[in-house]
Amino acid sequence: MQSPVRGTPSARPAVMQPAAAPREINAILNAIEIGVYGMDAAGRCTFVNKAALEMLGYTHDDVLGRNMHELIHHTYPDGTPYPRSACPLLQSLETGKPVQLDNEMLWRKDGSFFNAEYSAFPVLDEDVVTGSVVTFQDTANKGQARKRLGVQISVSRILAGSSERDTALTQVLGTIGSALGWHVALFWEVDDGERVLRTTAAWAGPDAVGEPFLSATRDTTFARGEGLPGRVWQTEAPEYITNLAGDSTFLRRVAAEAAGVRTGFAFPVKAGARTVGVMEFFSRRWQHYDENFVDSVATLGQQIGQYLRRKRAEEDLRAAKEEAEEANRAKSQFIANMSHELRTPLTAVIGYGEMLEEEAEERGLDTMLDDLRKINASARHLLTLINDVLDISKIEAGKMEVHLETFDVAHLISELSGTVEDLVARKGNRLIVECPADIGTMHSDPVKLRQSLINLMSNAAKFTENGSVRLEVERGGEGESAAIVFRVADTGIGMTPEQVAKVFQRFTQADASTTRRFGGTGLGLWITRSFTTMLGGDIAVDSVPGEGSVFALRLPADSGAHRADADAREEQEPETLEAGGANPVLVIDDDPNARALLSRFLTREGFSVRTASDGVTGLELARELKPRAILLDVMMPHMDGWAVLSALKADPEVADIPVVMETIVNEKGLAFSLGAEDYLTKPIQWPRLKKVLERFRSTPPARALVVDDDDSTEGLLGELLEKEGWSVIRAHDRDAVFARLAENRPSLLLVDLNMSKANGFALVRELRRLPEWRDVPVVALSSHELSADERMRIEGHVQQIINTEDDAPEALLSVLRRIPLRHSRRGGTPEKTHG
Amino acid sequence: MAKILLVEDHEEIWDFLSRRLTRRGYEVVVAPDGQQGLDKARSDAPDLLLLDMNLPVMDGWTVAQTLKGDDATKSIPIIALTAHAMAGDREKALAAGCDDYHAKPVDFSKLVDQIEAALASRGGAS
Repeated sequence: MQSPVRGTPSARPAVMQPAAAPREINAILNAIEIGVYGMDAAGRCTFVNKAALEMLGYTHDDVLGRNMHELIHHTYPDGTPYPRSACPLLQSLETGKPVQLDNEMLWRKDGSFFNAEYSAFPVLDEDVVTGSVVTFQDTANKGQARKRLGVQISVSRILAGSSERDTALTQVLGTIGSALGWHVALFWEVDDGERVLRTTAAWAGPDAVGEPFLSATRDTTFARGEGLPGRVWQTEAPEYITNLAGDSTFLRRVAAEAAGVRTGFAFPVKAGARTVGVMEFFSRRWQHYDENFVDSVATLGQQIGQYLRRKRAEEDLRAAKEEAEEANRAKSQFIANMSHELRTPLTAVIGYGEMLEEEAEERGLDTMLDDLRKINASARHLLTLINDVLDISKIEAGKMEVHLETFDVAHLISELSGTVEDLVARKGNRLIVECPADIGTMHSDPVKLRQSLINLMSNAAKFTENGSVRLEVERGGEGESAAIVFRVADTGIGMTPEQVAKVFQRFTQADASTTRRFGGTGLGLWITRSFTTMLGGDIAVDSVPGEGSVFALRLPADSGAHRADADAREEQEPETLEAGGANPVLVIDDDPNARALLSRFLTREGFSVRTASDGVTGLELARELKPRAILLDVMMPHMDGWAVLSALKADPEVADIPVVMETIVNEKGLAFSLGAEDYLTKPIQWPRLKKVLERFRSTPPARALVVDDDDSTEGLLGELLEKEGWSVIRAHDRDAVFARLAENRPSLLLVDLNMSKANGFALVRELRRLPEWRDVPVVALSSHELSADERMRIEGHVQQIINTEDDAPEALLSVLRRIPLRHSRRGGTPEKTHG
Repeated sequence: MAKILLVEDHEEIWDFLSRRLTRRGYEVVVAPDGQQGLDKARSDAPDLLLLDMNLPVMDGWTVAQTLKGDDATKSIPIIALTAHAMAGDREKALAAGCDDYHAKPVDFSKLVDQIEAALASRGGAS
């Protein structure tokens, strides 16, 4: 690359007289990254710029008036003295001709050196050389800023890519190392179990000289505070060792010397406030401390740390999910095996029982016949229970298959009447069947329809004495909406509205005393409803206590046409209970009655509610609505609650939304391991639900500290915040911020980055460095798109950067709504810590 | 008098089933595993097979496939007996060549209906 100062002497501007140089020129000299000094005709320093002093490690007073050759150019690389007479720059004072040296060694105050482009431009006054302007530039540093930015982008790309964790880390080491002139790099990871640092990724430059050093270091571990990585782990600050061989705190001196590495540098890799590892770089060249470099790798450290934390979370989640799926598979297999094992002996019981019954009948053994009939009835009952459990496990596992065929409805009904006749008659009930003989055929699953109708009719018979059970069948609708309605009406004890609401829940009967009086598991109606849904139909109940109940089962005449769009219709289910307002509670439950009950309860408690009837819709709604909380049912067909929970927690967009699981059995360990906020066991105890939900209400006015020196923006912001229920305090500059902080701890800081009186970037970074305020979430506001460099300086320090010009107020609102919630939940709930 | 070959490994089940079938007037031959079932199907010329699917030595699907692949035995109707009643069991049994399917536990009168139907269709076919 061409040096920007290279040129002909005549093109030089007259910047020679420092006293006369206008302030602007001084400012320019101090702003550029190239070292510049002036010397008089005798080679003594007349002025020097900031970059030169920084590169050389001298102060202004150290160099002014000194012979610069003696000071910084005194020795050849091989250690022999560099006489004045041999220095081309000094010669140029005599020739008056500019001179440029491409690769010269310049010595720092601390004895180290660096390679530089070194040029002199003599200044002529009427053909007399009065002095010279000298420029120098660290060749290793040339274009460093651009390189650093390039590294930043490459690292971000690697971390966002799909590489395996350790591969990505090695790539990161290589990218930083090769771009910024380091030869060996190591990543030390905190081993949580042993509390030591251990290398999990390493890189050596292509010249392989680093390899012996790497292998010497690979099996070493460092305790906290021990050696370079251990110290960085402890102090959580970058550390630079310019001369490894001369540093007694560097424990791998011998190996380093053998490998020829001279300079070492390490910085902490942090996930939030926690140091998760240390990155170490070594160079075979003397590298001097470079603040910009250290700053930029500190940003990288945050970025890598967050990546590691994300990877760790993903791994944990995957493991937990696999565990949960495995447990679920084992459960399904167990139930399948168990039902098989139970059925074999039951087959024998029923078989022998029936055989004995036949024999007893033939021989006229009436007393024995009665008892045998009871045994057989009980065995049959046991069989239906086992079948129900098997059905439920199949439905839940999504393994219940539908076999559609075309059949004659009247024929199925007449067969069915024969089957249930005895059952209905048992309690002195009359069976009335009304089915038009010409009702025709339907295309559905006859086995499931038969089972559903038997369930409904045996249920009707169970709760009715000396009355009637009526089955009416009729065809309704036309074309695609053609349906067959099966209505089962009884004259039994009926149900109250509360009982009706619960009637389709699993394991729940109208009330506990029902179980004692009438027996049964309460599974039949749930199965019936599940079958009905599978066939694209619906079921409704109408009941009057003391008068009886009517169950109306409506199935499409052609289930084949209806099942395909069953899901679509579910989604369009009118959300009658949805109340207005933002941040609703999302209820995901396949059971419409549970949805209705929960919605009613939540609405009464002042929450707005949205519902989803399956996991996929639930996930979509969660992403769309960003609800305040999610109530999630575990037992759902196709995608169960655990799968939904895992998906929610794997999506950064919705991972923060608290999820409350509704489980039948107590599985809180699983719930918490998958990231649930809390759990409830079904049937839901309303007082407990209420208590859980209280936590998700917006907390009483949280305090927001707005740091801005522009009253108009601040006014708008304040309004927005206050409308959201925040109490707003204000500060115009750094001192005011600390004064306000001292008075009362805010829940949120909003910092304008474009202030004229204060430096928003510096303020944010200062706050992050103070342990006391590190936890307060900061939202940065900017009226323009941040440059990559600005972004680099602030990323990892703030919760969110909001562009006040471009981002809609909604962006700010959605951040605001989440922050107090997240913050107040810090530390978890008592239940959770016990879980 | 129709001769039924009952291939079933559970003693309780073949015991009561064979006794009840005998009471209904069938002649019953019992085989306790798949291999013996296959052998007896070839040697005893039964009119019908009641074939359990989960059998030792040789499973029921193999027995069904072998018999249906052999001209000498392919016309013997086979009713599969399975205890699984899981989705796909029925398809698997029919795919193996069974003519009908009966899920355990045995519904005896229904099974007798199925036997009669199978024998009748065979009679009609031959």
